[in-house]
Amino acid sequence: MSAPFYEFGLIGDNAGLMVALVLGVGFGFFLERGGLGNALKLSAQFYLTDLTVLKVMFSAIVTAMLGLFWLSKIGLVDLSRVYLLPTFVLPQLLGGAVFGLGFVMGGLCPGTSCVSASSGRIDGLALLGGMLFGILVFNEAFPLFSGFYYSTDIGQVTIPQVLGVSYGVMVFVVVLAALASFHLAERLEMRARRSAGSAV
Amino acid sequence: MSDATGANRVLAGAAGALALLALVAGDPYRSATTSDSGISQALGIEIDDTHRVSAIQLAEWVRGRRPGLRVLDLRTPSQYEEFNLPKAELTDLSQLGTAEFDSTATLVVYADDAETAQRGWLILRALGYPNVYYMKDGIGEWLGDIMNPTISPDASEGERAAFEKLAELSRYFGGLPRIEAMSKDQSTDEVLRRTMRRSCAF
Amino acid sequence: MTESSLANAAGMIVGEGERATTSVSTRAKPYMNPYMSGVGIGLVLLLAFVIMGRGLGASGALSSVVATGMQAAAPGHAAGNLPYAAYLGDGTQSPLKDWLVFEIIGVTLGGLLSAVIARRFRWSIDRGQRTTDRTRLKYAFVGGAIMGVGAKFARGCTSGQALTGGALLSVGSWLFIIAAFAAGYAAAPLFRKQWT
Repeated sequence: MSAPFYEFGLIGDNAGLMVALVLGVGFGFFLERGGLGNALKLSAQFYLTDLTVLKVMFSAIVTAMLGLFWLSKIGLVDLSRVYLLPTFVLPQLLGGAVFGLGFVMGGLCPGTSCVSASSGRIDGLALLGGMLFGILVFNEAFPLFSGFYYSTDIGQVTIPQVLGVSYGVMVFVVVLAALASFHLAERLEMRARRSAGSAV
Repeated sequence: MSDATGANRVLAGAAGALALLALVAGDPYRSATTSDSGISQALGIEIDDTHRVSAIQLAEWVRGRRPGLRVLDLRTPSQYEEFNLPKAELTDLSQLGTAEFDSTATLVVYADDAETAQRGWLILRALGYPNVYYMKDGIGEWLGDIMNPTISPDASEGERAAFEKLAELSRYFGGLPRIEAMSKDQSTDEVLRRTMRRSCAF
Repeated sequence: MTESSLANAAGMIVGEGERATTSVSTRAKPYMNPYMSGVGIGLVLLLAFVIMGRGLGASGALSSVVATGMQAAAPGHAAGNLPYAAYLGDGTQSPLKDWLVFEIIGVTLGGLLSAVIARRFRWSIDRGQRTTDRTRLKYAFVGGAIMGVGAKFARGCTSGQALTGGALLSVGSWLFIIAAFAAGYAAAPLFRKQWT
């Protein structure tokens, strides 16, 4: 078991940067394939007419989650060496809410705005510009809320750890939730198509 | 749309099957190998935190020139070349078995990960050396606690005083104590390659 | 039925521009099955875990860009303030020599590649029919600024927190997902004119 390769010294820093580039190309490619470079498609998620965002994101999460679980289980990957993002409860809840507001307003997120911009969309460029500005504002105002920013740090925790269930159980629950939400999404889209078709 | 539905059904089925198996599959994290616990049990030796030495403690032992102190590095030659603890001697698990140390020596082993260090500890204890310690988080602990100790800008008076002592120890080894409010969740590689990856950057 | 409402009824089958004021482009190829594209992204993410021991991201790269810019404009200010300093490293190499920066360059290239292959590249503005180009651009900028702030607090965005952290079952990441989507749905009525 010598994966993650970088963590076992099998890949150097410069090779890692090349890997980043290649993986990024794959990421951007599939985002555009799915239509996520289009703000109309992305925002339609919030009006329940086009749930592509849900389908793409949840499929991606499930794929990576299952892949990592099984590769770990059969001993090909050392899961404990995969970097787990630390949890800051309140900042992430607030940040998430603020992000969601900006998302439905702007119609794109950071990654998809790059895809949108590279498809020629000026609104994608405008949104990118806005994000850089927002980060600048945050950085300048940082001393005002640095205490809050570092608050509620509960470290690197997974949901199975917090709920006291096994990892596999959580994986199962997430997949179940995904499949159920996909089914719901198909029904919602069918309903939206029907009402759009009849409103001529 | 029928092609898509067929493919979707296959995907959903595969996901469901893998998830169902995951339900009963158990823990995906690596756990200690059975051979370690076998040796441990046979010899009646239990490794625990009393045998663990912190980077700070080791630093004080080195600075205070503790007699009979031997620091053993269980990593690869190239890792040793890149960075090693002061006074560290490069060796590996197989060599430990045939190595000869003074019976009164204080032996400290460290590696990349806790498991290898603990195994090294076990081997030395099995050979009968009484004063054996291991460093749990290897050079990561040293880099974090000694070479790059940090204190949050809003630390209390008492914390600042304690930090001053640590800072003095750090500087003895050429470290760089800093006031920084970063989250401390950083692995060895991250501290060593600071500009590549940061715990707040996503 | 007019061409554009036919396209509306058919939903995703036709490519971009269904609801924009410009006419439907019949040259553009249809989008990929969203589940397939999701699996594709998931595999890319999995490769990141297996090769690098980390996931994907986007907003971090933008923070690097901002820090680089501030360093060029006011180096003392950048070095002395933590949010910038965190991205500047020890000064031995450019902050742009960063994993996420390289990744996001890749994302841009990958998007371009896919768009060109599918003949979906077009200098245009995606927006609803009831708003204007100008308003759309203003809302895009402001929405982006708000997201920038949100992403900083949350230590990531949909790529870093939702996808990566989601796949790793990280508690904070799932809190982010729930909060973001709840807020999005709650605020949606405010922006109807932008999109529908």
